[in-house]
Amino acid sequence: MSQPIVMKGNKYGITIRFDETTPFEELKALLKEKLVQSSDFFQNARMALSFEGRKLTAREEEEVLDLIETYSKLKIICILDHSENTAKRFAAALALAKQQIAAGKVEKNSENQTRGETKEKKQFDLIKDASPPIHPGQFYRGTLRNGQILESERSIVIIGNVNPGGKVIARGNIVVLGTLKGSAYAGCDGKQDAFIAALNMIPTQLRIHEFTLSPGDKLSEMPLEGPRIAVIRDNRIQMDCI
Amino acid sequence: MSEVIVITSGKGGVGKTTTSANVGTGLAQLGNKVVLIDTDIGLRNLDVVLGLENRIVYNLVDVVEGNCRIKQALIKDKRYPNLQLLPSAQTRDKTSVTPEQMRKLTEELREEFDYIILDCPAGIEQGFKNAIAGADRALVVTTPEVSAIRDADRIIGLLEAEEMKKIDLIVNRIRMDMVKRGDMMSMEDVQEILAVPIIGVVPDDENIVVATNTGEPLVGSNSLAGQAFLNISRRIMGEEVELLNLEGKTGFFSRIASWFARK
Repeated sequence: MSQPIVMKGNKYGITIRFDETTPFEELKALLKEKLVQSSDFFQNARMALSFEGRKLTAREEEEVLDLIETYSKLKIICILDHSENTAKRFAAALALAKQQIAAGKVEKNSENQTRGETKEKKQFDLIKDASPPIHPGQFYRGTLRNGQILESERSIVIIGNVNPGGKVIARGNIVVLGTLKGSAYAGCDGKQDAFIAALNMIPTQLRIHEFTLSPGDKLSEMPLEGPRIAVIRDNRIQMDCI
Repeated sequence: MSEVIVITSGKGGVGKTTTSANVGTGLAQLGNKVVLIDTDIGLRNLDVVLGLENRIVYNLVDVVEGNCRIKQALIKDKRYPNLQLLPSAQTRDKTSVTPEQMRKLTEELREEFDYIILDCPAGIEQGFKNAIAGADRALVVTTPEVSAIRDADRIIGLLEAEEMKKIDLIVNRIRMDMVKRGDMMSMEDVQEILAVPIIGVVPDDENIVVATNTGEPLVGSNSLAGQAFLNISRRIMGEEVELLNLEGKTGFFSRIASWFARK
């Protein structure tokens, strides 16, 4: 019989494999033991966590997280969907989370206005909410001004303008009901079918997934001003009239 | 009820000090008791623009550090009995004062003056934080240039984050001939980007340069800029004043013609 719990580390985080047949309570006890043993090893690392094997309910996931928090110094920044836990996804998610933490603050954010430690906590709450691949939206009302960054764990609708120097980052889609003159980054952790739409599209820079579009290269050839939607097609960002 | 107003812009050289001097003088001409505070510690020049440089004995830092009483540091303008200046220190830097001290200072001045006007330094660092600390409302000065607008946008964002109760915009140094040719942003363009109410538009006027150099604010004079500044002072007091016709050069006959056309 294989071990009931296997913890594997990769470059960016850890994967915990739970045996499917062992009862959950037993697994918890074993996990606790393992964590206590290895607490020195893990130090204060910030990591992404993913699960393999046994399918955990949201409640069970929470219990596991509680255990990790209590019995090790590990800081779990986010939980990843077990179905696609490639190193690449780890890297993207972790880079994003670290960047957000380093930035220290979300200057303006309608729902997840979070700072410092609370941010970490909130972040995995939000990611867990989104773990079924639905991307519910968020709204932000007002002008996003120069130097202001709006980040969203989901899709975001901005009712107002994004001025030059303003920046929107979302894991899902971005819709600007106004003029987008600043930068927008949709699908920031790898959602390839993310889009950016604006009633008036005059952006400084657009990013979707791993593609970037800046005026000066291809933007100038595209139809601008007026309602536009930007999507990835043929391995580049393309803009269509709405 | 007295009001503390900070005049700020982010970018340097757009006319904060000139605006402070003229709006402050304008408010004094309209019968208010006004004190102007130069918060640009280390780079003072509001005193020069007002022509009061030679009368400085004590300054803002002296007041804050308790080296003198506020009354001793305030310079009375002999031309306008209602107008006083609290000059900044030249040999210190912005860290000599804290936002808390500024708040306390403005509170004390409220008892004696109707308007306390703070001339904010350029930038968004300590000097800016000091200047906005005690303010009830802000006047953001910008010129119709992309870089100035960017900075104004950033400043407005920061003011909003600090929960400034009222933010108004002054578009300075506009040139209607260039706007007409499409070579300069219009008032509407500026308003569209910044999305705050415009309290006044001041035309580019060479009289300002002369006035600044001689230390004689031109507010209230016959020049267009002087009129514009006086109108801004009126609007600050809550009066409804129509925007100046900056086209300016309408001849006598065309004015009569338009008067008939309206009937």
